[in-house]
Amino acid sequence: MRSVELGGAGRRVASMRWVVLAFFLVLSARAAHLTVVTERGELRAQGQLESALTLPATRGVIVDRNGIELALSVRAPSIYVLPREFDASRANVIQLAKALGHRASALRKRLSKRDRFTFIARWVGEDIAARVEALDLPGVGIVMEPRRAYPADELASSLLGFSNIDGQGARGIEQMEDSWLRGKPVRVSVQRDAKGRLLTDKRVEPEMTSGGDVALTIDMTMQAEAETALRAAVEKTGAIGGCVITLDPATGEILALAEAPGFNPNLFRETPYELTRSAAFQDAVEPGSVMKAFLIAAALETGTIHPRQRFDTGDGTIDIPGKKIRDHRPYGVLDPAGTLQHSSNVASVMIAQLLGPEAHDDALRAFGFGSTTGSGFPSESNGLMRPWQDWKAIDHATVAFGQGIGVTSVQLASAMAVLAGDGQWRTPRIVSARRRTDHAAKQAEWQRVSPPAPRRVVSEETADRVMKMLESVVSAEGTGRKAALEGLAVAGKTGTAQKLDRERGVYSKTRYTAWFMGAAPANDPKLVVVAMLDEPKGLAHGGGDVAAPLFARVAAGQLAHVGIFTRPAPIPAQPRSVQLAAEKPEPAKTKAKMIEKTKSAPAREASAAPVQRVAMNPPPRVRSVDALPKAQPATPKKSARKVQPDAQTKLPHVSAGPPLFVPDFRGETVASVRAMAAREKIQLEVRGEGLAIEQQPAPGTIVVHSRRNVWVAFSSEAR
Amino acid sequence: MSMSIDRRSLQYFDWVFLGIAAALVFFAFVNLASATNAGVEGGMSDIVRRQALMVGICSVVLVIILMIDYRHFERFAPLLYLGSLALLAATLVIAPETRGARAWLFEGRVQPSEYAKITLVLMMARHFHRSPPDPSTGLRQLVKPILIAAPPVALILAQKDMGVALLTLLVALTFLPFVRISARAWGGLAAAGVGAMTALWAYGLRPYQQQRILDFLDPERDPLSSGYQAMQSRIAVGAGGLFGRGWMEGTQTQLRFLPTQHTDFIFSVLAEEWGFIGCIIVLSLFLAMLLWGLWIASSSKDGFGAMLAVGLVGTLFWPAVINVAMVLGLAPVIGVPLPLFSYGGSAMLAAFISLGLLLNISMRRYLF
Repeated sequence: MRSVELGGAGRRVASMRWVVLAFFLVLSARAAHLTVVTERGELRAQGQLESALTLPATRGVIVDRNGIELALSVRAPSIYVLPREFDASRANVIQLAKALGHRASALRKRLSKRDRFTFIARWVGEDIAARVEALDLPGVGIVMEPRRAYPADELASSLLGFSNIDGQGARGIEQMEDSWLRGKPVRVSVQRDAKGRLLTDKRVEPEMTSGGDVALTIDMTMQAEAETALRAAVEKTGAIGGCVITLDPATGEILALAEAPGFNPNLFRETPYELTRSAAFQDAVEPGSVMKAFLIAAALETGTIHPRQRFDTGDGTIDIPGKKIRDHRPYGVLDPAGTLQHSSNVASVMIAQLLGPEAHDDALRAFGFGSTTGSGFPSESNGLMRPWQDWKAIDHATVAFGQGIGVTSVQLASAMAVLAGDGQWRTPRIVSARRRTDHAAKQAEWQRVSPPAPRRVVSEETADRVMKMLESVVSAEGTGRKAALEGLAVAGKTGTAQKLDRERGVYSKTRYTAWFMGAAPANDPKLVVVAMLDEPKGLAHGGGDVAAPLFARVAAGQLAHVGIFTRPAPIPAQPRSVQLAAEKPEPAKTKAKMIEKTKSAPAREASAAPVQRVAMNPPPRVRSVDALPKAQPATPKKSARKVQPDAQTKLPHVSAGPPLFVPDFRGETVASVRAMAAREKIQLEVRGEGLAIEQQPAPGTIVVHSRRNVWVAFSSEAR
Repeated sequence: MSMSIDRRSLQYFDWVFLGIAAALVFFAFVNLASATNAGVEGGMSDIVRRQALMVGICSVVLVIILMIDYRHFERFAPLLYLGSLALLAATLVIAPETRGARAWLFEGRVQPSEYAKITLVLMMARHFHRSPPDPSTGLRQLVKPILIAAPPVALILAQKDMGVALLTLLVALTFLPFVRISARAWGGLAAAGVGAMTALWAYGLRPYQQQRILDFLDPERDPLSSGYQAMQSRIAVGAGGLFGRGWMEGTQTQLRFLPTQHTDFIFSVLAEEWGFIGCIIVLSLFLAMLLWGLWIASSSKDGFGAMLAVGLVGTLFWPAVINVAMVLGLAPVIGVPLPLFSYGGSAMLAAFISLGLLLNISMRRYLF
């Protein structure tokens, strides 16, 4: 049986060995090709690790200065589909859509577009996740994704910002501190993920990769107070927005930063990105008259003006080439305090001209305008400040009262803190401390963020002096009287800026920004508060009308946190200082209003027109008023008349000529006084003989109108 | 019918063949431990523990098979054959569907198709031994072998287990080169083969199975679909380089880019972690085992033994070649495990039975 066919089989078996060998040689060759010859495999393996699904790590929490949580991370279920494994039959899609609460057609559309791992619903409720899980459809899975939760909803929203669906800080603190908060993202292969439970994988322990925590300088209670007050003010005035910043002048810490309208960071996906910006940091807005405080501080600091120096504003107008600057009404002779108290544009322009554009620009930059505060807040604005070399006369004049310059609310708050504090500028701070996630110890220690060194802007003496002047603003006669608090002095400054009509390129006559910046208590400021309302409606739209009361309400509430209990003072019924107004003839009220309404449009035209530097340009920068007369080019146009300063109102209104800086005649002989007066084309009225002991107007007074008369008394007994 | 091993058989015991097989089992075990290590903390995974138990049971079965003279299997071949057909039929009725196929019995513990291959080989060897084909008789001589091979293949097809059905068919065809058949018969077989393939493509294959074959032809056509495994497998193999990334160091393996890496794609783990050197060692061991098996066939003094050895070599050769070719991207992804390497009790036991029978034939080569 085994005879014949076995012999043949034996030969066949022998030949089959070669066949088997051939098969294995092919396999070996292929293995060699894949492993050794092509290096593609290794590279692709690497690439695959990279392209594996990246899951954001657990984000660190954000707390306020007292440890109240403002932003924290929770885990929320997200539902994904692997289209290749998912049987997209009609019934399945309808079932899934129903469980998700989506429209079936929309879901089908979404699924048809993608063929890779795709999320179909992120951060869904537990009920939806349970329904999807119950369906048990192949190719549909649930992954617990980290989700950001903001327990306080709208509170401090523009400051906090939000972190987007992929766990990246997209605005505010979330963006600013992103690298600290974020931690290391977790990489998971898609296939692993395809099996579902990737987060339960040992390798993907969420705590292992979580980010650090951040503590803010914000006090949540003060923040809430500020927001409540701001919202009420916005509603009452019909403003489209607003902002309140509270700052500790001693440290530069921002204690509250309220903005309206805010947004709910929990709903960031339904909120237009544009609405999530922080205007307080990111928008440069014209500040209006609040800037006069810094002008006067600079002028005092440089010695350009004397605290008791007087400026004769004449008929309340001053001519600048191409434009006439006007006050609300004529205020007569004003000292620096009066300039602030009544917010005189004319006196401010005079002071600015004395200071000179370069020194003025230097001073404003020293106060922190024109560049970011260095707070680190994302997309913080520099503000808008043209280099002084580009200023025309009119530009410099308008900068004096805060027009043609853009500042952020935060810049303004920290500049005010310079005056309220010791004359040093401190970087406004939002982050007070950071804490690393420590895996060994459960809770790591908070590490305080050390503040940058303060920078001297003005002397403490100057700061105190300006604060004293700013107190008068909140007096019964001042523009900021509605900011007054009971039982303590408030220092502050109002500002009302016309908004630029972007379409027409002129200042709007109906849209304003109302400002009030203040500090309380004035003698030892604990808090600096800046209040701003954007486009308050109605006749009462000025900083003194709407922003000052907002300041008072916020400051009164917040001072309680530093142990000072007060409340907004009752507002006097008839605010205007009647004497002052009665002393001077002024155009009918309606007319004055009309003039004011039209005042800004020509300003734009003037600055747009090519204007060469003329004699009206500010005088050379000088250190001392005593030196002024010699440096001053004298170009009187009209014969001067001898007149007492208080008699000026009897004179007809004339346009102001080149300003006269009244020299200091004191101690000079009659001859030399005459010589000096002749150089300055001053009409002298001499009394007595000997050396000059007294003069009217006082030395350093700026006389803008054509009456260049000085009365000088001499006495031979002096010496 | 002696149920014991006489002294001469022990004298001629094929230690070389056993050594090769033992080496393969050892490699397989180490490799499986790494493949299933991912996500396991300390000690062995359940899979490794179960495989160790299985190797123990299989060794016992192997010893029992050694004790039974292989010629007794010729007598019992029809009974064993019918028994396996009955088990296959039973799966169609009572087995649950797993991954689209009904192939497992007793809660997934027994896969009758693995044993059906061996009983088919027994039956075929018996047939060719008793009535060797006569080249002059033409196509008629193939009727009986086809009738023997058709039922198990058909039943496995009915389980929708394409890969194993194809494998069983190939095992049956293994006998062809070893028997003398006419040119006309070859021609007829070729025609039937093409016809069957066409019919299978058009009517027998589900869309996903067609997909797999298309993906084989162009795997990167759709990297995340059924071509995914094939591509991942090739990436893993390529990542191994010459010396590999080291045991338990393969990123593709440890990150589980390949979902079935401990079963059908076990070879990719080997390739990634042991590199080309590891591949060559294991392939050489397989080659040595198969060549040794062929030597056993040619050295058998008995027609049934020779035919049986040829068929048993076929039961090891085809899955090994197809599986490795599949992992290396030379064959479409059909669910064929790598003998001794892939995790799975039935496949392991079937391989051990084949080894046992080969050793059995080898040790009794001088008995008559």
